Amino acid sequence: MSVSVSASASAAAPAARPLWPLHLGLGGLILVLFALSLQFGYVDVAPGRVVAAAFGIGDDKLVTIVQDLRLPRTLLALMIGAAMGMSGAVLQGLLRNPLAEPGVLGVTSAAGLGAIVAIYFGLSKMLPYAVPVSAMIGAGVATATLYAIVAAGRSGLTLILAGVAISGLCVALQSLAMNLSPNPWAVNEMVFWLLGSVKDRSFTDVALVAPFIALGTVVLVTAGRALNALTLGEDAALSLGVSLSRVRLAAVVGTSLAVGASVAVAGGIGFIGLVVPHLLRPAVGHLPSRLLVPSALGGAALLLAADMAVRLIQEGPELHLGVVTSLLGAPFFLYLILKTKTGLS
Amino acid sequence: MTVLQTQGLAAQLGQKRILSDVSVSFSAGQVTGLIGPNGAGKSTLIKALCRLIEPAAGTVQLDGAPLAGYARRDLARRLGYLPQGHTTHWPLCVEQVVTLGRLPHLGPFEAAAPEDARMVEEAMAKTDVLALRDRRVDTLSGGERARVMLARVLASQTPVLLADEPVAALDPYHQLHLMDLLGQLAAEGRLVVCVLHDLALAARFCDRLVLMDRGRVVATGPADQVLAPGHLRDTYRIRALYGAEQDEPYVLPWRRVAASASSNRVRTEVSPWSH
Repeated sequence: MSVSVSASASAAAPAARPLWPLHLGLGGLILVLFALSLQFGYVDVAPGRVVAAAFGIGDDKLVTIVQDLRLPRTLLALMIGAAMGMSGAVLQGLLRNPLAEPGVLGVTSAAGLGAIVAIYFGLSKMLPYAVPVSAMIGAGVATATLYAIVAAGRSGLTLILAGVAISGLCVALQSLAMNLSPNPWAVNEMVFWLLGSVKDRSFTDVALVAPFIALGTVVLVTAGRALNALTLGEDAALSLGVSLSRVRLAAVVGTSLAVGASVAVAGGIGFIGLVVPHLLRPAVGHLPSRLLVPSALGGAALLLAADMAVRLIQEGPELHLGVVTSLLGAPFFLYLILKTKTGLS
Repeated sequence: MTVLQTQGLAAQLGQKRILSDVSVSFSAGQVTGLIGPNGAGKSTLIKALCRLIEPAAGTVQLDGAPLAGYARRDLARRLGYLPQGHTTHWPLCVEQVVTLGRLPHLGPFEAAAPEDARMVEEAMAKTDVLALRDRRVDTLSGGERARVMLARVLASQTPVLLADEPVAALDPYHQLHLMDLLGQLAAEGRLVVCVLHDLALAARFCDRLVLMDRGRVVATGPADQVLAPGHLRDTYRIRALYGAEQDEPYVLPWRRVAASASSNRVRTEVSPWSH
């Protein structure tokens, strides 16, 4: 498949534009959303007192609410959004397909399966890192499988269908685990975890996944320039001196770390990696390397906003974040498929 | 002077043998045309020449040293490869595409310097695409796109240019334009190898031809020897018309012929009912 998703041709070349205004704008947006995210919740507090409480100053109860409930939740939304946004941008560059995304390609479900396996066999009770490590292994196996399909020269359509199959298999195995689980309480836990949320997470969770997400993001960023060369196809990239094995490894390892850790702590939160790079691509001039950092920032902003939205809807039980991103992301995915100009094959 | 040569080169894709015992040499200052029927192994030879595939036997040597002994980046600075089809997976603008050609000369996190920008400028000027620099490649015509891709390879400043069907799907004007460009590059001292299907272009624009068939080199030399009627009959299974315009010879494929008695090719295309 060649040039696929059309966007309006702009008069000035966005390619030549410096990226810092975009970075600055997205960074500013994140700051605002971060502050608002600490602000909004079931207890109304004056803005000044929230900031003070975040630094441990003020009423004990308020400090507990902000530091133990809202701050971890906000930090997780930020990190996971960034991880998903950047993974999506790298996978799209590597697979040269605007429809690639951890959720669509089954990487998220595979990570979920890894986590469920760790929970099911009680590994999580024995080793603190069992769930994230198992989730990362799941994500790694899925990403490597997808890459093998691309390397075999299969079409974009095959790739997406393979993602559907991987996703289907992982969901089936997750169901199997729940089916076989002797304890209904455990099933309940698994289901709620799979729906995807950053609610009621602690600093322990933040500390558990932050190093993996940070490392994964750094690994992903190193792929940037090679992804640019891959725009011309694998042979041309190789002829330009790019090490294909190194960029594949960076993408697989980086995605596994970032997505695996995210899923381990927050469950299935999909479509961030699909929507964000797509929206930002025209703004950076379509060059894959220029898309990476903006996608991470944009993903963080989007997930922060989505997590605030679920808190602001006061009716009924709180919606799970993963449910909301899927409700918005799946129609967008369909729209992208229909918009793809030259077809998938 | 750059020399690229193969010695007893064999290559396979999976279990299928694509090249057998290919020994040819290419030298600087010449356009060498790689011709032969579909499936002859032309594209595979081009890929082996820039080490996109590893030989199953034999060697490819650049300036007397085997390609396997070069680091990938060193090769990228010496061998420019222009693939078939002129693919770009994202709608980059022309200048970005051409700038990709500077990759072999940049360190891992090194940004393009003014020197790189000058090379990009030069490459775009040479292929006459300066006016298109801000256009998105998905909005270009086939001829424009072909020149942009050539500019991308030229920006790498490689002494060797290996082009796989650079004029495929171009109209006659742009075919002639591109062949002229390749001729200029050779005249500047580069080593140019290009795969061609158009025998008339091959006869007129190449200093030397290499005729391949079923993974082997059948003939090498100047056009009048390589495009001899017997060769065309045995490899392409065609008869051609020969002529000259102001002392420049041309060849025009005219009719299909049945396989000659000496050839063991199975007759598949001409059935007794085809009249």
